[in-house]
Amino acid sequence: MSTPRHHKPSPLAETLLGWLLPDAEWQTPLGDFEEYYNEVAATQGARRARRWYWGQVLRLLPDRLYEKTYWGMVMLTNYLKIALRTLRKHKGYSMMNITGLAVGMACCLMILLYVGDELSYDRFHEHADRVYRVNATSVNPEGDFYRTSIPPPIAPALQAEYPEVEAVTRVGSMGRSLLRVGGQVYQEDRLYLAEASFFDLFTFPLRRGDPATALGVPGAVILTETKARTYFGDADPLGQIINYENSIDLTVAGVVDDPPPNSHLQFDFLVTLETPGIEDEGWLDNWHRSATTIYVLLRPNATPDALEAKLPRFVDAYLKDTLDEQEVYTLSLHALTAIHLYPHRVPEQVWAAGTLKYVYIFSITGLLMLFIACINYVNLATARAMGRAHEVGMRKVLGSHRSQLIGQFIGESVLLAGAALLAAVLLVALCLPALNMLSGKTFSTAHLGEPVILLGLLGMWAFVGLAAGSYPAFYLSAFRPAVAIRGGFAGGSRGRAALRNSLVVVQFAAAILLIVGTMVMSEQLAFMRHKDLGYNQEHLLVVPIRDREVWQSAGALKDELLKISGVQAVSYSSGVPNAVRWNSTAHWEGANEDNPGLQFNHIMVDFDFMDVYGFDLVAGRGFSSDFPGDVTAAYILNETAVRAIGWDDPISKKFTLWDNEAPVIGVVKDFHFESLHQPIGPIAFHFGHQGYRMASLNIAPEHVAETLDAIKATMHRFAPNRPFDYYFLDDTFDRLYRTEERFSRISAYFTALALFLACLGLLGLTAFVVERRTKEIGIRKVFGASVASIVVLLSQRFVGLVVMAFVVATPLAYLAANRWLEDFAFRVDVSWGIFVMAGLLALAIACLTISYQSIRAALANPVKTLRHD
Amino acid sequence: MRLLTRPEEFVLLAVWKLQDNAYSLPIRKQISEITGHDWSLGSIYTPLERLVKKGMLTSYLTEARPERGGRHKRVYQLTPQGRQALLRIHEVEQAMWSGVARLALEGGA
Repeated sequence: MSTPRHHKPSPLAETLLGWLLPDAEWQTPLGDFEEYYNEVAATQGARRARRWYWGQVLRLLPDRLYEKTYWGMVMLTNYLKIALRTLRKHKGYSMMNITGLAVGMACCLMILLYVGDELSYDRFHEHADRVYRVNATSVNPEGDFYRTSIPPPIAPALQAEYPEVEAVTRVGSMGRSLLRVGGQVYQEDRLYLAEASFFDLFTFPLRRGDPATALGVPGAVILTETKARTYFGDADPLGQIINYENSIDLTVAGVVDDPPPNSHLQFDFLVTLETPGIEDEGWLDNWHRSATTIYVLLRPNATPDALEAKLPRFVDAYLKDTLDEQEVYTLSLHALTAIHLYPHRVPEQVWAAGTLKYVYIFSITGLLMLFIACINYVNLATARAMGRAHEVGMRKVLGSHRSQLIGQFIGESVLLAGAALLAAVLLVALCLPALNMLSGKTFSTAHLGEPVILLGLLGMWAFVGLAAGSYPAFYLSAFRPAVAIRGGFAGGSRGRAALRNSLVVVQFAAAILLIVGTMVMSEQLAFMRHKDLGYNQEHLLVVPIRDREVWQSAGALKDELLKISGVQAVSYSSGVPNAVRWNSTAHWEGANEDNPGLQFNHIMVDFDFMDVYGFDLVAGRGFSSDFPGDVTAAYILNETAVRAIGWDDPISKKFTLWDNEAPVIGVVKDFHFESLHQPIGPIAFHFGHQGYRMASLNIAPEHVAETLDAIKATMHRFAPNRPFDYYFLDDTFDRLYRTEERFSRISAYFTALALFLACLGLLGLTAFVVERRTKEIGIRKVFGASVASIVVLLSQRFVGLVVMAFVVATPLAYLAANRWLEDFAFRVDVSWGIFVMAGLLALAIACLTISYQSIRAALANPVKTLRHD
Repeated sequence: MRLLTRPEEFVLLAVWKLQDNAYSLPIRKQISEITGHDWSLGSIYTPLERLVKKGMLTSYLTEARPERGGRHKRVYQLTPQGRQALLRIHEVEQAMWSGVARLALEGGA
């Protein structure tokens, strides 16, 4: 009968059958089935055998399923019924529980959105994991410089030299430019030079045009969908002409989808890199000018580390001639997906980009909120356990297993968590506009449907349901039925009370931590906003001037501007505070081996600059038309510069910038020409004729609008093709501290929420304590206790807890605040006043919360409370 | 003593005849061959189980076999009670059949 070949039934069918067969004895029948299966397979073929086996399984299925789940379903309906009844019976508690959980979850969800978005940057590119930006670090005696712009010829050289480089592409910024279509003039900021390989590395889908060829011809331009609509409306943009800076005609060769917000490359126009007339002749072969950002696409099996290790030799071979003697120049690879989170120190980017630090801080805060919400749930559920003791006892008497009870209570908490989750999603949907305002991102309800978020939601549901539910479940199910039914309550033991108390302590500690953090942040922000920066920044209008023709009539323009009644003074310069722009190596008389030269910020100014900005001179004199030599050869330094050089008496000492040696004629008091994150660096002022880029105007505080109109009219006469562009100097500070500002606002919200949650927890706990001591209070009142003494009696323990929370939170908050402040070269001290304030605030709010319940209990009529039961 | 059902009777008889090899598959096979009708495995398990419950059969497990996917088989044996029941059935049947001539039956058909 048995054949040499052994046949196995399908494992799935076998498992299913094993599960369907009754009881522990199923091994033997399974053996029978397999043996029979073999027999059938040997005599009638494997197909027949398989059909027979599955037939057996399917025939068993309906009955066995019904039997297996019948009692489970019965119990489930019962559990559900009881859960809903309990919810309805204790509406207050239920509301508190669901609200608390919902708020915690909503916070967590919003943070999930934010963090998810931060982490999603630049991942939408098809080859995101293989694209790297080539960065340069230059180390010389004057300091380290980090650059994302490097000489353009590096790109072809890299590709020729290393086979692991699949493709390279160069991107060059074109700065603010003037575009004209027909008679319409536009001023655009997001123009970039790019080459055809751009689309090999980056995935920006083209709506019109061919990505392979669009940027292959000089003079071609690709514009975004949005810009295409603004410029050409419904007309076909392809082949249309856009004039650039009144000099070059660009032909539209493609329309690209707008770059998604989570792209670090944000552009409106891409112009062919090789278009003549935009940059200097031969700039693409110039090894001396760091003019383009270069990205490389590595082959799938190449590692960035291996390539990076070869780059020092590359620098030796190609860049040696361009470097100073002591300069060490390193090229490194920066993964595309890391650019947003680790922007390094790139002046234009660092303050705008949400940095990794905040991602961490937010993640921790989100988890903390969720944790607090869970603690509340645990606290309330345990405190309420007495009410369910009878039920637990009864169930046990009727034969319930402990595991069934645990399942029941965890199920209840999962149910509650589900309700809270729905509420949380609703809450987040309502709060999205506020979230967008705070985070500067553009979330829509569609984001809530993304798989990552849905997964997060599910995870949160499971986590909250299980984590918050398991403690009460184990606690409740451990009641001994006899004790529970008789009404002797086992829950008052010292250990349990200690646990509940420590949970309250943790919550309030977290709240106090957040209060301190928020206060420190707002103090630092106020400090930065009100700090005397060492110059006049109010009513100071800065007008960038870009046209060469305007500079040819600069003197006339100045005269015209001064004729306007609201304009008090005008000065031209190459840069202004917060936009110094120029940085070069300086040398000086008496420089030696140890101190050969320094990297100096410098600004080219005219006679009026010192007056317009109101710098204080501490030595020497300012530029003056009385000294004709000032125009060609004179320097004014700041105190830091003098200190760094080490001069005792700087006046008349020789100083050299750009090979122009001249005496120092004055020293200005240190002033903050960069954000307060940086320490004050050395800066030099000198005179010049060409290279001015900005006009600074002191304007009268009255009639600003009229003055602006007049300035605009004047500017229009001198530069008719250029829209009027200006900013107030004090507006730039908002930009410098925008990240901190935003962060401080967000943390203020979180503080409020944390306090709210902590109070919710405290409220529940007080209610519990009051309920348990109703009789005691009644008896005390009968014996003559005053309302005040009862309120004190009920409150003192909780006040003690808040004090303990304060003790726990203080050192943590101190450390955290100092860590945050380290980012600022100029910062406030963390004063003890802040801690006292935070502690008092928490205490006051806690007292208010407690008093609602305790006063009500103290005022209750003892006749009624003693009749209780 | 209560009488057995027909399937129970067949199974009990088959176990007696098969002796040491009395487990589900050969039992099924034998009954199917004799009755000329294909009995399913399930229709063997039920009477087997009932007979065990009534105390007419006991069972033991043999060593695991590879053609059974490494599982044991359960071999059944008659108890004295079971033997008694078989004898009793035999008596009853003979009594019931006595006097009925085989030819007479065939003729009637």
